[in-house]
Amino acid sequence: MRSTRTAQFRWEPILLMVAVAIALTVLQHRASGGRTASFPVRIASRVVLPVQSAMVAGGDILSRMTTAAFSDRAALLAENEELRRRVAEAEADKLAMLTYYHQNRAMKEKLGWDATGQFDGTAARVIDWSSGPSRRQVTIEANRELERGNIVRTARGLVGRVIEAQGRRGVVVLLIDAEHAVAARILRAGGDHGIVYAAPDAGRGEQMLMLSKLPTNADVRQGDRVVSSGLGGVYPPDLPIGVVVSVERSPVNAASIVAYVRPYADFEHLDYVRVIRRGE
Amino acid sequence: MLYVAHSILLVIAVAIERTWPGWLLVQGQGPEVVVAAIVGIALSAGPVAGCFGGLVGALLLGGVEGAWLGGAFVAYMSLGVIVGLMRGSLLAERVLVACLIVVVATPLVELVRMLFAAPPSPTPWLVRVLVEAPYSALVAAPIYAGFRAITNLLEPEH
Repeated sequence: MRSTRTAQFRWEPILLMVAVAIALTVLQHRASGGRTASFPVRIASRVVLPVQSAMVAGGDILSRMTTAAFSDRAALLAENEELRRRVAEAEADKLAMLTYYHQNRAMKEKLGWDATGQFDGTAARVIDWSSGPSRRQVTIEANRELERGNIVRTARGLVGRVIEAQGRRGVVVLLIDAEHAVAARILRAGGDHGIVYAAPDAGRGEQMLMLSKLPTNADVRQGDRVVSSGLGGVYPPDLPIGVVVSVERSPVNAASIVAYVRPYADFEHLDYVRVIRRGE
Repeated sequence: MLYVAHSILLVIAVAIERTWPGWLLVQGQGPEVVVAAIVGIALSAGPVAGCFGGLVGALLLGGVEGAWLGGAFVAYMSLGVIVGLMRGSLLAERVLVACLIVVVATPLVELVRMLFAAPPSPTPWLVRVLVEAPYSALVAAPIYAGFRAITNLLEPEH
C-alpha cells in the first residue's frame, strides 16, 4: 500500500500549485494599493459569501425553530405541572367526596332515609349519655330547634322522646329507661294492647323490654311484632318497637301475662337518630 | 471529480468557520474548520490533494478575511503536503490521529501565518490558539470521516 502511494506521488502538481499560489499572492500584492479588490479576494468573496449568507439564513431559521420548540416545551411543562396539581387536588376531593358519600349513606341507613330523599323528620347526633342505675337518657343535637315531646327513632325502631329541649339540643328518655312507658299493641289484625316498659333484669346483658298490662285473654306469641298504639297521644301509632321473644304467664295468676320484647333499636350503639315532630 | 468535491466541501468549510454560531463559541473562539478539512483531505487522499486543499482553503479563507494570502498559502499548503506525505507511514489513517494532527497543526499554522502577519499583541493570540487547537480537534473527527468517505466513494484506489 505504501509503495503504491510512493510510486504514484509526483511533485509536478505540487510545484504547479505553488506557482499558482505565488501568482495569486503577487496579484493580491499588486492590487493592495488600488481601490478595487484583488482578483483572489473577488473570487473568494463570490464563491464563499453566497454560501455564507445561506448558512446564516438557515441558522436563523433553525434558531427560531429551536427557540419556539423550547419555549413551547417550557409552556407545556408548566401546563403539565399545573394539570398534575389539579389532578392531585381532584383526587383528594374525590376521596373526600367518597368518604362523605359513605358517611352519608351509613347515616341514612341508620336514620331510615331512603336514597330518593323522601324522608320525614330531621337528623340528630347523640352527643352525650347520662345513664344511672335505672335512668337511660341521651343528649342529642339536631340541625333545627327541638321541642319537648319530639319522637326519636332510628331506621329500625323507636328510641324514645325528648323530655327537655334547649335550642337544638335535647334530652331523650329511652325506651329502656325504668320510668318510661309506651302504649303498644301487637301488630296483627285485632292485636292486643298493652304497655311496654323496660325490663333490665330480663336479658343476659341484653337490653330488653316487656309488654304487660295485656288483657287476660291476650293472644301473644313468640315472634309477634310490637308497635306503638298511639293511645294517650304521647307517641304516634305504628312506630316499630320490637319483637316478642318469650311470653310468661304468672303461676299464681293466669291472667297476668308478660311478653318480653327485644327492641329493634340498638340502644348500645346510638349515634345518629331521627327526630319527628308530632304530626309529621 | 475528487478535487471538485474537495473544493465544494472547502467552500462549505470556510462558510461554516465564518458563520460559527455564537452560542457554540468557547471563550469567544470557534474551531479552525479549514485546518481540520485540509488535514482530512491530506490524510485521506494524499499530499497532492492535501496541497490542493491547502491552496483552495488558503485562497477562500484568506480572500474572505482580507488577509495576506502568502502566509496562508505557505501554512495551509505545507500542512496538506506534510500530512499527505506522512500518511500511512508516520500517521495512521485513523480518526483519532486526525484529531491529534489538528491539535498540533492548529498552533503551527497560526504560527506560520503570524510570521507573515504579526498580531498586535501576542497574548490574545496565544490564548486564542490554545482554545482553538482542542476545539478544532473535536470537529476534526466528523470532518475527517466525511472526507474519507467522499474519497473512498469517488476514488477508492486512494
